[in-house]
Amino acid sequence: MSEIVEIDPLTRLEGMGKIKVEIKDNELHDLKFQITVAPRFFEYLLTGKRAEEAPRISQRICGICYVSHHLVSVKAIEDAWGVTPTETAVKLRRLMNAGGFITSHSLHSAFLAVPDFVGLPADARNFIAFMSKYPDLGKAALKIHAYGNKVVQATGGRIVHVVSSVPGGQTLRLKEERRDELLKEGKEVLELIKAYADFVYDIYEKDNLVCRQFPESETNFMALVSGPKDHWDIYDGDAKIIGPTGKELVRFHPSKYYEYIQEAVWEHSSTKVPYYKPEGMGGILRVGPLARLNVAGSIPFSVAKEYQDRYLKMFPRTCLQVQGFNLARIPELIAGQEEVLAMLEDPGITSEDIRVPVKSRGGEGAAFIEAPRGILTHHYVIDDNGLIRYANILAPTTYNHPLIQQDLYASAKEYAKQIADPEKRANACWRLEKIVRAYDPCTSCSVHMIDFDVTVDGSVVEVKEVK
Amino acid sequence: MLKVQTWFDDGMAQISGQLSRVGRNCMARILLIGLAGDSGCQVASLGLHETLVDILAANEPVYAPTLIDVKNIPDDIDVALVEGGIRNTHEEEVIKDIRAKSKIVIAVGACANNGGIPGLANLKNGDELMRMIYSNHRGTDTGTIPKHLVSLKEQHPIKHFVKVDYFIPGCPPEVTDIANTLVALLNGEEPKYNSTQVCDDCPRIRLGEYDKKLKRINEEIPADPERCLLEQGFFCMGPATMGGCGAPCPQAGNICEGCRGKCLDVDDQGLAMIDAMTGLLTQLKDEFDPNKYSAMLYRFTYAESIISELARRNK
Repeated sequence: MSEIVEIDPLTRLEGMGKIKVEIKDNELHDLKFQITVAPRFFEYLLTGKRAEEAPRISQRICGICYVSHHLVSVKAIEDAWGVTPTETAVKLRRLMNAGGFITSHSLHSAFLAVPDFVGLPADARNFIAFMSKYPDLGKAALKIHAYGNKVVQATGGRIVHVVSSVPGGQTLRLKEERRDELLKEGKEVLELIKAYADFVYDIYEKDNLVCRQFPESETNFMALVSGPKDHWDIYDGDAKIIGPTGKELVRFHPSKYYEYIQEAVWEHSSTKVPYYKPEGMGGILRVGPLARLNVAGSIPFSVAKEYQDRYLKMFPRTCLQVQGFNLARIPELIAGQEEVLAMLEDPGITSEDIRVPVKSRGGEGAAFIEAPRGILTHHYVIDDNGLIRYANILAPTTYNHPLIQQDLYASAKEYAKQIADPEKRANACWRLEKIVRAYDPCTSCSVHMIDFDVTVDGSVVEVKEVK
Repeated sequence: MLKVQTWFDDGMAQISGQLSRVGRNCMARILLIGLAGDSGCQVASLGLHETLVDILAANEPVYAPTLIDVKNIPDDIDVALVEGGIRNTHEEEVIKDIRAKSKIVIAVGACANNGGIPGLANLKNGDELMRMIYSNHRGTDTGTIPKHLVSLKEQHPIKHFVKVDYFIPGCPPEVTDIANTLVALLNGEEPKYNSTQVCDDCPRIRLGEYDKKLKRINEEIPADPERCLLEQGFFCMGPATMGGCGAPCPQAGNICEGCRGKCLDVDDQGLAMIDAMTGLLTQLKDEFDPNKYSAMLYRFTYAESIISELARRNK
């Protein structure tokens, strides 16, 4: 007897998606993970536009990591034009980027993921219930999120969809009074983040069963690194890829990404899936918080480093566990706050030397940035009038997609009996949703996705004919 | 000249006051959903912070996939807040279902209202787009085009499919507009629309004289930091765009992109901009090439523009 169970829509997720599970005689027969957000063709709609417009247009790909798209876009144009922004502009951009990390990571952690782990009843696993059970922590989470917004607004001109980065620098200066306000509040917010981090880590340190319920998968990982010791860096650096044992496979500059990353197209899905070219389509790469902590040497900020040490007591140096994503986000949230404070304490941040005028010209350029969900690439070819002729965007969520399905499959296989049993079904489905949530996929960000219709079998991603 | 912060804080303080008076007295069943968009509107509404939590706690959020785990769209919804446009048949079905079950439907943000930035892809037909992105794109394996698409030919604002009762403009929408609209509805009043243009909010000074050259924002730093960007030769959409945002973009030193769409009682944003520029255009007639500027006139509103309607009729 065959039965189809649908989780539709997946909730507490950015964007819309669903899971369809087919159970035959208490065994998993088929699992489909579908994203129901439509493709919006940004790579086409950027062509013919003036290059300096790209940072403001392309950020509309994502309402959560718009800062990342805005900044990587301006970096790619500057690369194409051979332009170096002023020192102050780079500092302001680093500040804005770290602010974006704080909003995104606090949003995911407190609003989407953590309500699953604090013993809330099944019909009230959400932020509103979390807030009434832990009012102080709920308020702290809102304050942390609001502070990230303030940093973005002070440097980007608006809270969502910023305006200030143009090739050559920034159009908005940070004035001394505003810097002083942000610095004062920022120090208080760091304490709130530490309290929130302790709360989350306590849950897991006391009961690591919540970790063991999640699948492990052997994959490669990719993240940005900088400096001689391969620091954790979210703004700039080379991409480094490691294998499942932690061995370095390759590192490369953005201009070389074509040699290592290729995108596959599947007949029955419309997402593109990037893979590690030398290993062919099986060369799955995971990106995001877990990948960053696996790949980078260490976080160059003292408080974040303490929490990274706590994290390393729970997980191995190269962690393959999905739950690692949720916990890796915590030291990163702290590091984001410490980077904000470091930039604000830099006396050069309020300098008036925010930009140099640059002539529009032809060229080709690519750039990397770490978006909250992983490494993000923009690549443009610009004609002699300064108009974009070709654009390629590789969003982080697309890298993780094959793995989300693979992990869902593994888990559904293990819990097939429970899924088939109407009484135990809700709990088993919740388990599947938690896996998707840990990856924090951003379906809007996946740019060219719709109706993801593939079957995953064992450890190999295989595309089957859909009847 | 930077007044954004105080403007925002004052507005928020006022709204929080109003909400604490109304919110708790009336219970409304609220739906919050994102279709073909980027979730930015929902993130912007999080800018309300504790006020948002208050609204949700005082009312009944019956369906909001981003926040709560309800799987089916329930009946008897009082207020449906819809973000994002319509790009495939799934979204078309969802919006029709929501309309059938809701007393009030509010389109939130540029994608739901005007099609938004994704509407710019309507300039090319769907099949060509698919070939271009999936099979003729450097760095992508060739030979395969997904066949299971149920995409519509174009990005649509939701009003192309269902009746929309109220709208909240912008990309992102202003949190103050979201709060004001909810407060008015919870009070049983009609939400008020802004009848101004972005220039009315903008503190930059206008002298009525225009530069004889159109400039690109990266090529020159505006010589006068206090003066209107359009007068200094930068293509700012302020005159053709609905006000109420506080003009944050010109205040941050960059042009208005027109994200709030056309002003109240205007038919077409791009035509309104050309109209606003007629004085300037006579000076610029040798330089203003519609081919170079068409996409800039309709960054957020191409999907609802008169020109796209004509193109659709001729297909």
